[in-house]
Amino acid sequence: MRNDVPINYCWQDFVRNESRDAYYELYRHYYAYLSYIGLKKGFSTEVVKDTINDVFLYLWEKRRSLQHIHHPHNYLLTFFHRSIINGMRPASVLPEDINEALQGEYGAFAEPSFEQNLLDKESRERLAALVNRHLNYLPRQQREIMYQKFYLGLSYAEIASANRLSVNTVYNTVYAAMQKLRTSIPASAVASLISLFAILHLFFS
Amino acid sequence: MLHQNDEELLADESFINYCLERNEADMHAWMQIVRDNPETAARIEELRTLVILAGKGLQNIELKNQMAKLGRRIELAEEAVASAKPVSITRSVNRKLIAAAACFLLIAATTTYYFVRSGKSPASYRSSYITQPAEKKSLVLSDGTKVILNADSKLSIAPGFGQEERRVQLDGEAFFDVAHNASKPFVVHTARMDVKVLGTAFNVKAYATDDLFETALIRGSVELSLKKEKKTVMLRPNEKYVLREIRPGVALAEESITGRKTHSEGLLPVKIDKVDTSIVEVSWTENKIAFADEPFAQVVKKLERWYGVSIIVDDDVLPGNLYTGSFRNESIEDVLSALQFSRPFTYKKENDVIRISK
Repeated sequence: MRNDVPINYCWQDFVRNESRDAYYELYRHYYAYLSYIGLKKGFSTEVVKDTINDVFLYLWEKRRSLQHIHHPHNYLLTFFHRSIINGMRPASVLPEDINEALQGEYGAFAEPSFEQNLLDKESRERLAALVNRHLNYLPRQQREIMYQKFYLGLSYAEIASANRLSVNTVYNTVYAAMQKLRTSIPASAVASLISLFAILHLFFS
Repeated sequence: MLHQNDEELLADESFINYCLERNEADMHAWMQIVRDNPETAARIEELRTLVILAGKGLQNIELKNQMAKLGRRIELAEEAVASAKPVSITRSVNRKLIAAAACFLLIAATTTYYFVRSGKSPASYRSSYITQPAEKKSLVLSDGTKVILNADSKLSIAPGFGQEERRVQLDGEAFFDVAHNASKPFVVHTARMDVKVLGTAFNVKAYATDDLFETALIRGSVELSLKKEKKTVMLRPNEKYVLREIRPGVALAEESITGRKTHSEGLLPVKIDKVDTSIVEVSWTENKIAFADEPFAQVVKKLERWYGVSIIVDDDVLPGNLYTGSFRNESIEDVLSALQFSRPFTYKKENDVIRISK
């Protein structure tokens, strides 16, 4: 997670002013984190995605009655944790004291924030556009697996169980998708960018 | 130690950790590898760059898709609140409904989204309720009419509902407990028939993707207007009217195998569960999935909606039997193994997809 200050600010904006922007900002902020927690717990991709949206739909519907929440981060985490274990129907009062086991177990997740040391801005954007165009064509399940590997950083075993697949299938999917991505991008485009970047990377590491 | 190809690199969790800057030790180890192997460094770094960009791009795609889904759900919920106050599903729905002094109406019906009624331009239905497969919803409309919406269904409320008349449009299956009001008739529009409530209880069934459309009356009286046939039919309690979409070769093939007519058309009695004497057509409102002399294809379709799964039946599975039985709160695995008793088959479940083979 990133730091807590903007989150509290977003939360206040959301419950006091019913700001939709602040609400979606919270969503963007928590989506990967909650996915990570749910998948790590062994729930399926589908259940995790649905529960995140159930929780946020509930938050939107109850936004006027959430003003008493002082620790939105703990509230959200506890709420999500309960919903995914017990199914929806959240109790009206949720403890804001986060379960210690939960805190310890999943405190480690940090969203990747590597952009600043990856190529220069212009090259990065050019390459990202190429990559994104390709990603949009991936079938849903392949995309989810790649997301769980390359963004959430889950292990192959965890991804296999979340998608009810064998570890081998997950390996093959990741590799095949990456191969396609590589071949769809002109080798020269990558190589020229990388060589420059690799040198910088080594100097500053 | 040094991996030569992409496949080995990607399979190595420590390499991914290095890419995502997830683990201090792995990061140092890989930086060392890159330094010590200048000839393969470019290749490793190229893959690392792609992993990072792909991860970031996928996060954006996931967020975009999921936020769009959430946005649609918010929109639906807000529209619903505007015209009716949803209530949460209760286990005692049926008892509450019986207690209510209103007339009961049970409908399973299908409509096309834009239907034309009595020659007017297509009515625009701005508020609607939608259920996903395996989901049920209970609602109370603004006139006090209670509705239970079965899985994979859509109920749209006509604008001006309750002002002069009460019109709704249904695609799927729903149970109506209509609040009595003789001056404002309650009409359910569907693709093949319209159902007008005259102070009675009845049941209509017709999903767009099915070939059977039926209306069964539980109590009271309803009037059906059959669109293609251009005629009206009055139903008496415990009667139903079955319409069949002619799709040559589909259901008929099944009948020729069984040597029995699996579906009759026209005016028929409702089906009674031999075990608990309940009415099969309305059993879903009590969380019971029931089959009464139904062919395999129809059983499969019901299971798909009920459990929110997709079922693929291999061609070599002969749809020979007619199935009768009811299940309450049982997993799909339980139901399938009960069906296996009647006619052996094997199935494989992966995610939400079930494949049935010989």
